[in-house]
Amino acid sequence: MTNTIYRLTIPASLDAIEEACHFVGQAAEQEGMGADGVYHCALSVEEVCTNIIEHGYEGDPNHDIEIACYVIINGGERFFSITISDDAPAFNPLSIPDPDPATPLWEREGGGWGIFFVKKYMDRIAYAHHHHRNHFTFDKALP
Amino acid sequence: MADITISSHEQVTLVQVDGRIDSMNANQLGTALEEQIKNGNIHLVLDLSHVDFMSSAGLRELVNTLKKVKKAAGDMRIAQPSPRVREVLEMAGLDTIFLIFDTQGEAVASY
Repeated sequence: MTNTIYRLTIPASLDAIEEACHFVGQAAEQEGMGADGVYHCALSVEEVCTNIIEHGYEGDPNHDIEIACYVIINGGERFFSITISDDAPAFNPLSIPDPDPATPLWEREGGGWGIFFVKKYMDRIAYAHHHHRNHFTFDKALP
Repeated sequence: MADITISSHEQVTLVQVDGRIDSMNANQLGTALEEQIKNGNIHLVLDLSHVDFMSSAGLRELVNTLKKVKKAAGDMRIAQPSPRVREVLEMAGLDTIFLIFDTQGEAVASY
């Protein structure tokens, strides 16, 4: 069962991400998400969009990012679901090994933390590639 | 956007950030901190009490800055991180790498 679908398209530009975070945060709040969950959804959007712009599109601004949010009900539980799609070359962000929080300072190279945070903050994550687009979906349980 | 305020407390340089640290502006913070190190201000305290949003881009700048300041025989210590910031610091294991203080005064006095 689905209801309202919230849709936003942003240009592939870092300065557009904050708008996407606010948009998703407001949608999550409207669907009953608590303050922590709203923050976790917004931070996840920031991380995924940043990866797409910096790595998928490699800074090329002539692309866009599509965001769709909706509530799904599964096994009696309600989830706020966010799908972010792009037309960068196929890449599954879930294929990246998790960084190790125990890594010493001098061995830290900085990569991989964004998707790691999304995995920690969200309850379900899925990746698909179809119609020449990457689709990254992450769900957060609603209270 | 974030506002960055820098002040001196004897040998300690206090850097206070107010707002959001994300992929758009994290390098702005990194540049501000690097300037301090280049100017010989290597006893840094970063007050994150008014940062309500920090992504991995912000953490990357903090780690890069810590490496630079330690190479210069200094340190960067974190004061009163907001709960949101503390959460990401802990998830990334940075709470064991940075010295973190509950108050700005304790962080400044720690040098």
